[in-house]
Amino acid sequence: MVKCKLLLIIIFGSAIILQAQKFTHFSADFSIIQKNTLTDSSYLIVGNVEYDLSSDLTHYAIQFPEKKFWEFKDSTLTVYDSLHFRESIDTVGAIQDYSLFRKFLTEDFSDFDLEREQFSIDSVEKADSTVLIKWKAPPYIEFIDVAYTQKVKGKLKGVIFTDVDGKDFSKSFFEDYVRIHDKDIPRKIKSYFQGKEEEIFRVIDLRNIEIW
Amino acid sequence: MKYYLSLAFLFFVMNLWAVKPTTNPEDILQKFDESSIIIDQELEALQQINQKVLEENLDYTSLQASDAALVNDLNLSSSVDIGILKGDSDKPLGIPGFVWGFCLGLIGILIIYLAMDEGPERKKQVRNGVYGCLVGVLLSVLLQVVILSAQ
Repeated sequence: MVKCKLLLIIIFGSAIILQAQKFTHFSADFSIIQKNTLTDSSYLIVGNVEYDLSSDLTHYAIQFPEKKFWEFKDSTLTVYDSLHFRESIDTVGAIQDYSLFRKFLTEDFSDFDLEREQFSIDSVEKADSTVLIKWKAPPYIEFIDVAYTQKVKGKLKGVIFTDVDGKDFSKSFFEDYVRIHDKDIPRKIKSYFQGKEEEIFRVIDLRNIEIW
Repeated sequence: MKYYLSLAFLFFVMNLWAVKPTTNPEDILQKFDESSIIIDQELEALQQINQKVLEENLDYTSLQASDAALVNDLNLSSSVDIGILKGDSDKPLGIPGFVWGFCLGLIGILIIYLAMDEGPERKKQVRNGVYGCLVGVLLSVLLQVVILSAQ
């Protein structure tokens, strides 16, 4: 009887682990378009991205405007030229922690991971299929006052961060969702950032998305 | 007098109203929709270029040849800039301008000037380099005075 129970626990335990680790890879073709008002410059970057959750490695194969390969691992970025010779290694900080691809594969995407970042819910407004949540920033993030997330039919539509002066300094919008396996993935990610002197507008288009 | 006081009060109240951030849920939802549209508008020309590059499988040289005016107007970068991702990209080798000036004097200031792109950040780092250089000179003079007076 004890053996039987143990066997059941092992089977169910394994099933839960397998379920949690079901998808570990994300791949897509992408275009990034960006405009910076301070430098009066713009970018168009086209290529393919692959993310491996198990090794936390993001690999970009860039085709336009020039052939390059970027590899993000932990807090380092390695750049390779078109012949895959290493060009440089830079420390870029813990940006992998904020990787959207990681959020797509895990369950953190629905609230933009705000709960994990210790934001607390201040108020919730519901109307039809829309839910608007106001989040209070944790004390350790001094420059952010509140964040607003909007969900439509359970899918995150956008997040707006407001600083302590009431300025909406960062906005991100997630549109054109596609359902792949049991995941809702946005194919268009728009963002806006307002710094002291600059405004940055950016759109990321994802095509041919695959997760496995 | 009363008239001017009323005007001043009205002006004060209007200012308060103007700076108060909206917390009305409907206004915030409207802000979501409007902001998304504004981003589209700002990037409309770049989206057209993106479509063209994808449909015609163009490289940068071909795009510049076919749409030179648009590429120049948009100041479209011909390279992939990773500067925004690097930590301390706004200082040469990540070392503050003050330290460059303090340790290397005028050569340090020259390194800052040559290593950084023109812009407000270069001005700031060069200025810090000058301060570092001055502090370095002052300290060395002070040290010499102390040594000479001790002899």
